[in-house]
Amino acid sequence: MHSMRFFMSQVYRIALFALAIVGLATITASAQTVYNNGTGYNQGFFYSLYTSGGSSNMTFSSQYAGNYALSFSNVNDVVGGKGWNPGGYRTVGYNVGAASGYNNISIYGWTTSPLVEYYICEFGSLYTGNAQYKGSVSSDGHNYNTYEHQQVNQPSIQGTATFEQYLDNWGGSSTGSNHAVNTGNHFNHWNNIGMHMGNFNYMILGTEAYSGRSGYVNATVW
Amino acid sequence: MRRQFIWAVTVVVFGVMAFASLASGSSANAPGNLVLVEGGIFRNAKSNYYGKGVSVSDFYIGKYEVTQKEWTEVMGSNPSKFVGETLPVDSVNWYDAVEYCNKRSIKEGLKPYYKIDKTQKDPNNKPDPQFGDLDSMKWTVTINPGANGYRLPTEAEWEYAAGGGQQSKSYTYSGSNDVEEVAWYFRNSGDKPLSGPWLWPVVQQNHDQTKPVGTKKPNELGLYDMSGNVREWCWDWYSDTLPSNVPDPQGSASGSTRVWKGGGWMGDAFSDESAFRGSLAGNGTGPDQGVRVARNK
Repeated sequence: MHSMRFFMSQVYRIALFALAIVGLATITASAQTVYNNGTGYNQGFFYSLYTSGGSSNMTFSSQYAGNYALSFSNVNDVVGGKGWNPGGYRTVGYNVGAASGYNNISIYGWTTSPLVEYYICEFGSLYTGNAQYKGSVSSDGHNYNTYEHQQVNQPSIQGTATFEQYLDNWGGSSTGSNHAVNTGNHFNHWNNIGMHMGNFNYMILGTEAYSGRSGYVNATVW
Repeated sequence: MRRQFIWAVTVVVFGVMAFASLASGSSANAPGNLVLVEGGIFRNAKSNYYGKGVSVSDFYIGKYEVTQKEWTEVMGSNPSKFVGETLPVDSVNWYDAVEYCNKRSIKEGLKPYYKIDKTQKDPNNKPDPQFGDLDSMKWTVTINPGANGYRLPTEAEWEYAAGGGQQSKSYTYSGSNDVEEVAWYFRNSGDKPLSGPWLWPVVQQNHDQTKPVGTKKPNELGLYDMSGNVREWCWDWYSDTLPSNVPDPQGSASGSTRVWKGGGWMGDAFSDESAFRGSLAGNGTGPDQGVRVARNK
């Protein structure tokens, strides 16, 4: 009897140990860090990190599938983010817990037929110096200024192409609370003013910083 | 016993050769690096022309994309961003492509297929409805239909050949349903495989570029790189609508952009699908834009 209890106790301990190992492996698998450059999938989301000059790393939390923590130092340019494929009409939820040193944090994506590259800027601002102002749209409690910019013989998801960039610029979001981007409001607005969308390709919440900046952004999307 | 063995080996070898010849189309009877494509209706169920009553006549098409060696021998200079004799020529605009066809024809004693007038602006070259007048060249280019010289494939011919012609297995990409088997595209054309979203800075940083021609699996007709590597110019003006119930369609009579097919190293897999239709102004180009030649039978 005693030996049986001892045996069961050992089995229980071994099972617990095995579970702990599996759990640790799972956490390790999802809580990965990417240094400077990398693309792939993490917990069901697309991710991408690109760095030119300086250094950066992007760590994925095991607690929230859509989380990324991006640190960068003295970068000529860094672009990092997480998102979906395909993008489309959806309410993108996000929470940026901390943000410093960035130029913009935006919803970024593409459509094809017609080929369109689009940005919806939540933090910071987009460069619109050579773009055409097309009015504004109200969505999720604030106003975005809309711009259109033509790209001629430039790189795209289908190779060299002539296409439009659509830019909705706000940038007034805040850290530490949940926010939403109803992408349909932007897409419908663009369509209504003749800026037509096509078939959705991928869409991410991306952080961009350039001109030697250093900083840190911790963001979660859902 | 020994004689029987030799006989058996001979039968197998000839059998394999016969099968290989059948599987690779009719390159044995075609000049140079061309493959004779047997015409007919579209058998690839994923083609834009499938079941639409469109057919093409027999024609020759390049087994490979035009290489930089082939280009330089004819044109005397190389516009490519990525340099290498066995790499496909890149950074070719549509006018460069038709001029190459004519110069190569003359060099090889063939009758040029195109009449090129560089002084007369083509009235059929219309401003783009969205982007305006992008094409500053607008050469007037017409054809000598009976000429035996090199030419660009029509969009229908290109899609027919990419889809495997009469030997089609209805693949999505040219020669496979797995893009990795047959195409150089943005995920596999650089230092390491890319698995995330297409981002140009990432593609650049990964040093993606063209690859030597003929290094992926060929399609049902023995044609290489119809999907991926460089995009290939077609003759046609681009139009949103495609013809039906017509033999040998030549595209619209006018337009603002020319059709390219096949996708290239820079783009995502969807543009490598045989049915994908791309277009660019005739004077437009980039480091992923090349050419494959065709000829009348």
